[in-house]
Amino acid sequence: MGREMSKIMPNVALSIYPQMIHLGSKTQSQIELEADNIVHNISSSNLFRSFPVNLRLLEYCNSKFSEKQVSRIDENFHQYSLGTKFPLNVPPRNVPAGVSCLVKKFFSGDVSGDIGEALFAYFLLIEMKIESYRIAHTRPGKRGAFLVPDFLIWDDSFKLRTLVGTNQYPSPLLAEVKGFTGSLDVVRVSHALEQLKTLILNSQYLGMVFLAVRNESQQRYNAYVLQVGS
Amino acid sequence: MEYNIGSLVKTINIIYDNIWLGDLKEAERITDSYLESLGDESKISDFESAAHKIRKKILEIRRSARKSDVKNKRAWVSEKLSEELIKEKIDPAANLFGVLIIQLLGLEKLINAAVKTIQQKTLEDFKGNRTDERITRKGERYAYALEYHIDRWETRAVVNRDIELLNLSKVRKIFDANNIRLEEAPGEQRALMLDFYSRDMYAQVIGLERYVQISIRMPRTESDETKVRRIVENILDSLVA
Repeated sequence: MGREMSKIMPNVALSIYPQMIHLGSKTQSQIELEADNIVHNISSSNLFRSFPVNLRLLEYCNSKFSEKQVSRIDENFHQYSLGTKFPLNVPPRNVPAGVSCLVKKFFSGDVSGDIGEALFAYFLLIEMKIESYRIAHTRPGKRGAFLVPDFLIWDDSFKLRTLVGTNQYPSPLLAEVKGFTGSLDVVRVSHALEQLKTLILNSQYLGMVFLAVRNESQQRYNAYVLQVGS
Repeated sequence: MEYNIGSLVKTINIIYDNIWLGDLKEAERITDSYLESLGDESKISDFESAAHKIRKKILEIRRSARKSDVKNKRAWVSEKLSEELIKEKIDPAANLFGVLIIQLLGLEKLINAAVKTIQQKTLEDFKGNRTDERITRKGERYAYALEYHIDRWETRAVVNRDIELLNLSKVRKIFDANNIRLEEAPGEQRALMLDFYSRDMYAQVIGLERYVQISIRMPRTESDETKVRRIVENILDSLVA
């Protein structure tokens, strides 16, 4: 039973980008250049952990920590990871023009964003053993034009030191989460860095960017952590 | 200004837990007591204004970006905002605390409105037809809320200890005696995942920290509610025995 179940539990490989990104005095174009470097060198990231994701627990994290009302990602996770577009049962011939968009469904970026947020919460709770009451999901505040990251993590016992890249740091840690349906996108990575830059200015706070990327060839999600300082 | 972001994050999460459970009165009590502990209203408003000050700046810069012909408006807004933050020496901790206070005040409004709605009488009350959509029970060892969905019963419970400390052998013994098959799904030590099968029922249990979700599927009969409540309480009793 155990072995059977473990087969259907997808693995996520989480790697840490080798260099800490210092944003302190970087200008807009330097941040864009940094994001471009990250995207091109992401494959040189160091594997931190490869972990099986229990889909029932992932759905629990989705219902508690994701901003959007997307449900049952446990039942559909393999479809999303495979990258197949749902086929509808329609005759293969004589399909009127314009119908193809109904035959081939496209992924919504919202679903990737939702999986990214749920996966990040899952990683913190299950893999890093951070208690849920130490995590604040402040994404809704961002929607209201307040200056906040996606997540605040109160980590005064330094459980995330390997991810942050230093043994001691002030709480809260600031985290931006980005989910990618296709390949990594320079513009969205630079948005995450810009957002963190404004937040860590004038402070000792450290941040991280969590990138959840659907890998079509390996049929799974890969995750990357970027360590960010001022 | 003094602020403890960790304690505020914890309080907001406890309020969310009570909303999750449907215990709005407890959520209201915790919200009120936290706000009281902050001091008078002017102090709360100081915290709020720290966050609103930056928000106002962000909106102003966004408006200017719309009028200008810059290529990457988002990056431009971020750059201008950084300049403003350095110039005005804004304390980032005060901003974060302020945003969380605004979130808490929003929750307070939401809870008050929900409590009022629940207390309001409707025509169904006068006809005597009204049945509660959600049944909540609160005891010493656990509190739970039970809700009927079109295809299943859903229970949310908060138990008095962490799931990882549970001894499953007792659960197995109780359910074996009642001809209910139990299977434990492989998972992490921190989490609990169980499946219960019997001739006319299938229940899925998931637990993490002190939170338990139980999903029960069974044929619909008139005595459902009592039966489901008994199953839920059996599961919870055996978990915290």
